[in-house]
Amino acid sequence: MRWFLLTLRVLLGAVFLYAAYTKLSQSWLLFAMSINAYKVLPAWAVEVVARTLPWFELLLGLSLIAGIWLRYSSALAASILTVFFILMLRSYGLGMEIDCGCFGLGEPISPKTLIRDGALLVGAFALAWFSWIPLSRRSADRVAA
Amino acid sequence: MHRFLRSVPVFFLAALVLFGGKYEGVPSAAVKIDLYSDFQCPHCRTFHQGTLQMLKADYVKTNKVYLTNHDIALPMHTYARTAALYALAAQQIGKYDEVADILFARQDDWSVSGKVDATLAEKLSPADMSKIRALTADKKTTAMFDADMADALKRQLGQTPTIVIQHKLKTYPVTDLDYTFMKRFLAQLLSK
Repeated sequence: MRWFLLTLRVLLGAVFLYAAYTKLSQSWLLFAMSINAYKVLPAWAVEVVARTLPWFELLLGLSLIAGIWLRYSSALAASILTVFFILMLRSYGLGMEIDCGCFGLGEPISPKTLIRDGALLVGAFALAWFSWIPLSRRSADRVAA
Repeated sequence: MHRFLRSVPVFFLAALVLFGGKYEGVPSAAVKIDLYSDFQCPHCRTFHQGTLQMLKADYVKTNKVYLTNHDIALPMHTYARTAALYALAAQQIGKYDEVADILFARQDDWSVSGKVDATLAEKLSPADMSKIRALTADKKTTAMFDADMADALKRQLGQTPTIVIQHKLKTYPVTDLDYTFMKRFLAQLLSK
């Protein structure tokens, strides 16, 4: 179980770091366009999210890999991935032909992206679950660390 | 390439600007936009009637952006190819914009009935229609359409409209149809 949780948090952490890198290495306006295409936020909120979310993903990725505040970071990862997944599912269901915006430009929402994000979501929930539920009288933080 | 463009006579570049249509603006513009659009696609209509008009007014007509329209046909759109061929034929007599405007404005009609020709004939003069009809059957027009389709396949585009912005060898495929952030992004690119 220890190795499973370690692999899971490093994998999730790497995904968040990569997601942050793809956004921070280009103009924030490109990410703003990806968010805006979902048509769920007003322009001012799109700007706030586009400017801050990549930094949040960066911190989350580092926290998951380092195993610092694992309970909170895993819960946050599960929450944020839930939001992403619901938004992607909604857009796909409505037939909106837009980019996922997950890892930069040029990746339309498709069954493939939904399966990938769904798998990440399951992984994040598993990590959060095992982080919060003590195993063998020891905190999950210690086990995972 | 740039050296070649500098050697192109000014009147030719001016003609491109005035002619409009499939290619709009000056080819030497710092930013180039390739627009991949399908005449039967509702999202393309929204883009054509809204954002594209603002984009043209702010950046294309001011020679800051060079716009290339690629008319493609998605597999599920039965009459999109016919519509594209009419638009490409119209391009050759300087009527591309007019035909594109009519096709998008009357999309709900011809995309159900398939009567692309009749829809255009209601708005265009008989002389223009006869020229367009003749050009529609021309191999050159078909080749233009095939080239656009091949280009879309090469780029692996699966959705329309797709806007591909190019600046200094970098390529940015965009699917946001709203002008708010696109305008700011273009301004940012042009300020570099």
